[in-house]
Amino acid sequence: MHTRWNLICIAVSTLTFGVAGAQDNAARSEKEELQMMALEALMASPSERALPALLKLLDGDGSDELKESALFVLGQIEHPEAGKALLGYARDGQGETQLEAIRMLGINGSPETLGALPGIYANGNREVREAVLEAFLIADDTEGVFGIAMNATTADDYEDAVEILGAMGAHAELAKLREAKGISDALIEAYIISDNSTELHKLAMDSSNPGLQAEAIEAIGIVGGDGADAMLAEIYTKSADADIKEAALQGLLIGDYDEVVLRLYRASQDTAEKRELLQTLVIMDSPLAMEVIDAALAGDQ
Amino acid sequence: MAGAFRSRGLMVAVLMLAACLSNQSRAADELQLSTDGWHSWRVASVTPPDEETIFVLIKSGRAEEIEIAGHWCRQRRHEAAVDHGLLSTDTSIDWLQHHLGNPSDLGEHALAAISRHAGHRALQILIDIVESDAAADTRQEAIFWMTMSGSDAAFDYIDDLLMAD
Repeated sequence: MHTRWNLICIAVSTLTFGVAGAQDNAARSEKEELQMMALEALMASPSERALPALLKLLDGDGSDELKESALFVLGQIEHPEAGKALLGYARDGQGETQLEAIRMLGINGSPETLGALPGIYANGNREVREAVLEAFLIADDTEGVFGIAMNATTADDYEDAVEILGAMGAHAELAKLREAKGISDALIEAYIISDNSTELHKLAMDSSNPGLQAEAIEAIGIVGGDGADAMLAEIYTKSADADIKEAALQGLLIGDYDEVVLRLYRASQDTAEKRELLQTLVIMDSPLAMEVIDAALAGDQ
Repeated sequence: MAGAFRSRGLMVAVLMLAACLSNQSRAADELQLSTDGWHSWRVASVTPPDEETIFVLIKSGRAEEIEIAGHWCRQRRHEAAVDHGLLSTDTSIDWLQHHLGNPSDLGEHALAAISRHAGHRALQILIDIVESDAAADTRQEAIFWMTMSGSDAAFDYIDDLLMAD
């Protein structure tokens, strides 16, 4: 059940709980230090002992930091009552306590708790909705995020969900979204985040929407990888559209492909174009720019 | 006549009590673990099982290891251990307390062993450490072993600590 994201999150949470917490030692009072120690100790205690203490603390007037740590401990307890309590805080909690409880549902990762997330999302404000997406991310539940993207009623909600799918590397879900909703800026961002050069290459050759095509071409430079430099050079060379050529050059600049730019410079017979390519090499801070300048001064080119 | 019986009976009871106290105090004084090798003794436990068995390894006259045969410690073969029988919790704690603060694992193991003892004294030792200006690690260990003891009194203390304003 513990997937890569899940483990990463647990590690991060543990670090937050322990190491990062230790950095705040100076800011914490001695009493708060002892309280944090007690919470850590409860993690190893029998659940029937730890649970009442945690619930009492969560229902009390303790600090947000203490309650967040208590929720983390609660999320680690494998007891039906603990899951039920966590769900209660995720649905009806206040402020940070609610948001942290939602994230902890992701760490918990059981089908019951994950199944409750869409309902919490539907009834929540923007912060709650973001926390639900984080919970799905932590649980590595791509289906859950896909469902939210498909049912999104605002552009912001759709973009947030698609971005998370990108972070999760959910290629299949992104492909289904493209089929259902069409290509968009958000999907291109997701392809960048998920290093999906295959889809970007396809989009770069699709001239049906020149604006998105240009974005995809630039994105190839961001993602890089095998064949990215050759593809950008090909687009630059073959395209007659100034915006597409500009996008390809931007891609080469972003990808730091200075040798390709030098080749294009040497192949070009157009003075204005040569100037632009040389400027690009200078902006790239490439040592090849000096070679070009030296050669020009020597009258070679 | 009846008064004489009562008086004699009282005297016998007093003598028996004195003998008992004397035995206990002698046991405390006589817990000498000077011979090298494993030693063991039993004490009343804070939670079931009713008794804990504590094992101590002595090398060159010094304690090297303290172990508790029970729920969380690995079981080893200690057939050759010198068995000191059932000791009072005070006797056992007196010996173990001497090793608290030892910078090696021995100090924490002594703390863990103390936490398994029945009676208020064991918990009070842990509370005193938590509320002292000892190193944070030591205080954390004391809280940890307090919760591991599973006693109502320990969790009452943890409750109060968590709910403190």
